[in-house]
Amino acid sequence: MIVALNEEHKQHLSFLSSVSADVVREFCQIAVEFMKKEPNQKAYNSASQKLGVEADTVRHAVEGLIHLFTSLTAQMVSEQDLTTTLLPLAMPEEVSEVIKEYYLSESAEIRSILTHMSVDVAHYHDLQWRLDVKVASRTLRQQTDPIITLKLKTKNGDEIQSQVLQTDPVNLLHLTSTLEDALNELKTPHCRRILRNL
Amino acid sequence: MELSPEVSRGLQLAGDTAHIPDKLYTKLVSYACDVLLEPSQCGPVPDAGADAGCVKGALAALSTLFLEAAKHDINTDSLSHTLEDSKFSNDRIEIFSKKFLAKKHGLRALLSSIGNFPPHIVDVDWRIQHYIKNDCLNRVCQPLFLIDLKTEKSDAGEQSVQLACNQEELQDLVGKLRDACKTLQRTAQES
Amino acid sequence: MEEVDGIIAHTLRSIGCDVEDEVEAVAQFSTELVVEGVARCLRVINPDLDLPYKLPPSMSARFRIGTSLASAVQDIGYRGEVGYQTFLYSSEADIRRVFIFLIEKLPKEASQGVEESLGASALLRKSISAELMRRISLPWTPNYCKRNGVCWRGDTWHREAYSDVHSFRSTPLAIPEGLEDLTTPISKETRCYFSKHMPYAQHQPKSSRDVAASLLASNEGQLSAHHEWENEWNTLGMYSRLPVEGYKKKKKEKLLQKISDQISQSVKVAESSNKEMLQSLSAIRTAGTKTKASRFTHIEKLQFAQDEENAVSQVGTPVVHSEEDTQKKREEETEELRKTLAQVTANLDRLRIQSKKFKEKSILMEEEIGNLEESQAAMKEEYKVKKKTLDLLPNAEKNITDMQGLVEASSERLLSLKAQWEKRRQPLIAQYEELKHLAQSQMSESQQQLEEIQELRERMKQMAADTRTKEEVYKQLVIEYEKMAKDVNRSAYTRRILEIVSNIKKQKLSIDQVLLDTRSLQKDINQLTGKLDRTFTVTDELIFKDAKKEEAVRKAYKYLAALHENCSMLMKTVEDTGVIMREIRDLEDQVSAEGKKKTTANLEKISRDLHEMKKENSQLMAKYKKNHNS
Repeated sequence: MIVALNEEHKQHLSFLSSVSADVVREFCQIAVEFMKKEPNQKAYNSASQKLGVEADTVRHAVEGLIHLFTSLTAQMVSEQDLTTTLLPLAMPEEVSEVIKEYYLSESAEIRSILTHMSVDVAHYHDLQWRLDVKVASRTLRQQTDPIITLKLKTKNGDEIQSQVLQTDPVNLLHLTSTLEDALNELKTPHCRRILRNL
Repeated sequence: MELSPEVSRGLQLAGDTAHIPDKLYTKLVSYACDVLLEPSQCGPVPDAGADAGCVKGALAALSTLFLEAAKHDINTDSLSHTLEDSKFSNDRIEIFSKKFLAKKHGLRALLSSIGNFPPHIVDVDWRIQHYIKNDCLNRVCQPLFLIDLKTEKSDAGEQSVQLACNQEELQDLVGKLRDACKTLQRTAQES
Repeated sequence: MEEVDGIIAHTLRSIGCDVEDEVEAVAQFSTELVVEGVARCLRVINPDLDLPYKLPPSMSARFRIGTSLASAVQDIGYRGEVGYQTFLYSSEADIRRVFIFLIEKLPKEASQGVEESLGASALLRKSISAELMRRISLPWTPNYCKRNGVCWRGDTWHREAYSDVHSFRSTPLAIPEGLEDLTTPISKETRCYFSKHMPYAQHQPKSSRDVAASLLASNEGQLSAHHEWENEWNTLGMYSRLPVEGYKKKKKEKLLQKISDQISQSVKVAESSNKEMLQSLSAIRTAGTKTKASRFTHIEKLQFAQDEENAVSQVGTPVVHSEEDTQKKREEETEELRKTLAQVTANLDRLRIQSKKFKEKSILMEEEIGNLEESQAAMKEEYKVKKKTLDLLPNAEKNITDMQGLVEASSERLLSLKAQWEKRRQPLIAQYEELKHLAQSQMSESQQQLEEIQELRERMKQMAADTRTKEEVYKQLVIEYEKMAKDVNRSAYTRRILEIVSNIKKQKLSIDQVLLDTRSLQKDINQLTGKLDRTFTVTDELIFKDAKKEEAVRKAYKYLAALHENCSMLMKTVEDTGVIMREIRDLEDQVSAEGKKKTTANLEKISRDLHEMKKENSQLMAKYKKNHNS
């Protein structure tokens, strides 16, 4: 699969063709840092000063790289296709090599970052449980009622929610066996076939 | 089990043939119990042949005794002691004890339904989805489990708790639940 | 032996071995059963041991298990000879001995029972695990299969769903009071209210599901109020030495007093703050007289406006000029009115001040009048005395003597009165003292009684608590007893043991008898031998003396010697026979013992096992070779 680059993007990236491979390496590093953490204005400024170009040009180049990386990762572009993609930019060999190298080494991490950014329901995060036995209550003395209290933590984005639930032994056993079934379902031929075909 | 002086006096009223005749007493004992268990199906209060005020006092005391006895899971001996203290005749004690024994479990179940609890899991539904792609990623291709815990809460009825798990998360969840089950089994065999 | 075997079989069954009912004697035990029984016993004695209950099919594994069983048995202190052959190729006697040893080592149930009755927590733990066991073994049912969220299994139930659950909400209930006691009648109106208008307690809460909570709460509330009162009466009420009603009345009065004090105090505070506020308000009012005036004019304006409108409607022509006039006029009027108002208010204030002054003056005057009247009365008295003395002055001599007489008489009378008073006073004082004493002693007595009552109450409480705990213990013991009663074998065993003991006693007696017999026989034999010896010597001497003289006697002597020798030989033979007989018997015993060991069968088994093992070995060798080659 090839990623088609639009004109503006090409223009932003064309700056990279005019500098040395080392500078491109630096730029790639800045772009990856950007995705992992946050924009580093200082790096832009120092780079522009060093190269003697406008800060905007540097910024455009880095952002162009970021866009390139994310769209490559989203499509899971292979190494060969990447070369084809970079062809219209007419970059020097070393520059495209550097870009390729960065893409190959960082794509897994970029992918995980992108996965977290997508729309999602609350995910399971943690479960704590304890076994209680209710021995007496205001309205009922002399009882032994085993209860399992569960604290379920779910995670939606970065926000962790926790809620307290309870259940009785029979329902706990049922819950466990049902979820085990769900887990085992993945190992059935049907599921495997689907997974393979995808 | 302890009864307040007011309730004891009400019981004396119920046990006294001068106030409550035998026939009415039997009906009152049944009514005092049934009104607690099935309030919609027990009809009007039987009060023929006695002063309505006395019937009211006796009925309240009998219902209270039913509840307190069920609350403490009292045995027949102490129950008849209590009734003897309120000057009940042996026949009347017999009638009350019989009714109590017949309905004890129902009353205790009723009493267990009073209280505040966290949402109680009663059932679970799940489905597997294959997560194909989203707006920023093509070909995610991960199985995703959607789990729907059905819970019930006091005063609120059914609610459902939904959460998603990928395979590792579900394995973690199931592992923890299995651990809990094992603990249950071990505790059960500890004797 | 049957008894012992029965006990062994029973014990094995009780620790969970699958012993069939017809198996009664140790001789009937199969190898599997022996291994399982020994393993189970060892596991019960020491739960840490990891021994399998079943024999594996592989021969070498079997031997290993046999060896480990043997070493485990020796570890817990078995003195006899034991090895893998004891279990795998069992002989009845060995197995019996091992089982007897193991069963003696089993932990006693009785000691467990004692421990349990000691700890309530252990009991609780037990009930918890029993409940859990019951619940775990139940199948899951969908939620809609439960009535009100409760799962019923026969007579037991438990809650599995909470849709029906509601929180504890109680409403205060009104319940007829005082109807049971005919001695204290209640008013007709109350009675009428009770019977006709008061709703049933069960119908009073808004929702029928709150009936139970309300009834329970009302009982709890009444109870705690009762306890509170009891406490107060015991501590404060008793010392006040008042009857219950009196104490209550006093308390009520005290409370009312406190309340009224509090109210009056806060009223005072409020008044002072009120005054401040009024003052500040009046300050505002003086500053804002204008606003008042404007309101006044406003009302006037309204009236005027109405009038004007009327006028307009009547006349029908606009009168702009006159309106200005009236405006002016009005303003003048209002000015005038304001002035007069100010004057009037000033007047009023002045008058008020004056009247206040007058009032004060009149009060002062009244006081003065009172003073004057008093002084007038005093003066009148003085005047009377003086007048009397003046009257007496003309014949002073006589009057003085008269007066002296009078004075004397009166002093005498005073004395006599004093004496009389003393006479009366003495007994009265004595009586007073006595009463005082009495009161004091009564006081201390009542104090003592109070203390006693307190003590009695304490003791009553303690006794009640004691009874309760004892009843608990009794209940627990009854439950335990019921549990124990199932084990009928116990009494049977004791009976049998007693029988065995008496049997042994009998046997011992007979053994003693036999021993005695043997001893007496021995004695007889010894006596006889002695006699024989003596007789022989005497005869020998006699014949030897005569033998020198006569040939026939010499022959006789020879015969005698031969006879003696032959007899002693005979005796020896008899003894030898006895010894041999004994040996034969011993050997027979040994033979039977060996026979019991199922030697032939075991040998066959051993050879079979050996064969098996050889086969296994060769198989293993083949496998090994195959592996090696490949």
